[in-house]
Amino acid sequence: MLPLSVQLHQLFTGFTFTFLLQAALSTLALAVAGCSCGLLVGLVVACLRRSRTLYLLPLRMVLVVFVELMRRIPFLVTLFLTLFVLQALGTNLSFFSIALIAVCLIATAYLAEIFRAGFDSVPQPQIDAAKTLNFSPLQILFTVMLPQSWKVVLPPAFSFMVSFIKDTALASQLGVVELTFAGKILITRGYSAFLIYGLVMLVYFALSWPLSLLGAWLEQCTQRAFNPTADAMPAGTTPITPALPNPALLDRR
Amino acid sequence: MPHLDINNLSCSYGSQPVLDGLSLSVEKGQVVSLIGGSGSGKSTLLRVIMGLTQPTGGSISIGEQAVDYGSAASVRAAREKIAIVFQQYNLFNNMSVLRNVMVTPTRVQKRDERKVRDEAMTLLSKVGLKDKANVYPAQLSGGQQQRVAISRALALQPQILLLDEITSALDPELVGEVLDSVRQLARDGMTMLLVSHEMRFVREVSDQVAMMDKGRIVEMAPPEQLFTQPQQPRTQAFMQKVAWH
Repeated sequence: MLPLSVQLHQLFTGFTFTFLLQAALSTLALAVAGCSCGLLVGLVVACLRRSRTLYLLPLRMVLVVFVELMRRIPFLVTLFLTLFVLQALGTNLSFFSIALIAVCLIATAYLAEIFRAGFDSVPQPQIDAAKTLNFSPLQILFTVMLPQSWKVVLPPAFSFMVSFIKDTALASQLGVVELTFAGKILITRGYSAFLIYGLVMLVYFALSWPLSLLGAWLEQCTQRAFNPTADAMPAGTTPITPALPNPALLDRR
Repeated sequence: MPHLDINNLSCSYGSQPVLDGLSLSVEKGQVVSLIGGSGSGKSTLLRVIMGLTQPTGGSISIGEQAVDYGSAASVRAAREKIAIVFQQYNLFNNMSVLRNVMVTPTRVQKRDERKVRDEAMTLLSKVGLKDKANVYPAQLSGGQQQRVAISRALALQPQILLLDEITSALDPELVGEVLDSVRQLARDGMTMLLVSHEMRFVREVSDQVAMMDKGRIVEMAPPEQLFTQPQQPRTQAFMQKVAWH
């Protein structure tokens, strides 16, 4: 093994650094692609699952099977399944593209389920009211359901996405050189495992920390959104303003 | 020519009939109240009129226009003429009071925002909630929320207003303020079909009262007659049991 000073010097110069940076970018690409695709397609899947139109019934059944299946298969198995199915279909995609597809499928299934739970949290009578007011399905979605769903959707969605960044490490099993795999390669080249994994840990942290912060900030926004007094009230109580506020009572607060 | 004409209407949940050949008509400017035990189909009738529950038979016409509940366009047209206020207010919790009242005229009916705002403020001041315009529903009492819900329904400028047990979820102290708003509407000549358990109020405000049982109207008469000299045994039994308040 090389002396630590030499290792450090080599690590931050030239080829090795680029190698690690590229690997980190691969991880980032997998995570960003998975999360964006998951958020967008997951939202659409959740909406389609809610529709009650008869001619969409076959599609709804396919989506239910897709979501329930994907959430029950290990990530690794999904990766290999995607690989073998795509190979059987005669496609000639790179391992990275295959990993990308698998990652999108998994994130879509999980986030669709998170959106479904969010939609279910909106009271049905409010949706009935919107229907009687002639809201179109899209207006119901964007003006009534989504704004009220965020409170329920954001915490599990961000917790999923943060752990998802780490799960992309499994793409290494397909030979995709992402962060974890890159670390392994460097160690076989004589770098200290402690040094490399320490660095890998820091990069993973740097990738997921801003996402956690964003999640926490958005959660705060949604908590406050429709209920400015929520901070002052204990959880589970509904603030009620008296019809005629009594100044004496207000003083005592 | 009745304003709202319901003819031989049937509706069932599975094999359970909820409305069983019900006929009823409401003239323009009239207030018709539906009374009866729970499960008699009162709320279902209002849900069917609004197109939230599919009828299994019979017909409904508004003005001279028959509503085809199989056609989305026909149901939309009906909903432009009829508005409903629910027992649980069902305000949109993510919108301020003013937005709740304005959202349908501006977003669905595409009317001019400034004009709608003025109308909304007028409606809110009529129910005494002008100063709550920028507050969110969660900060209001049940009675205040229900008065906002009435304003939201009226902002559509409906020809007919349906009220589904609008005081049942309220604290007894808050019932009065909501009923006052309805009384005002009745004086203004609004055509209303309402379901209520507030017998005194029904007696005072209605032109016609219909007693419902097992998905049918067993007796319909002006309030004085129905409350003092009910003809049908079912109505007589009901009148003996209801609480007078």
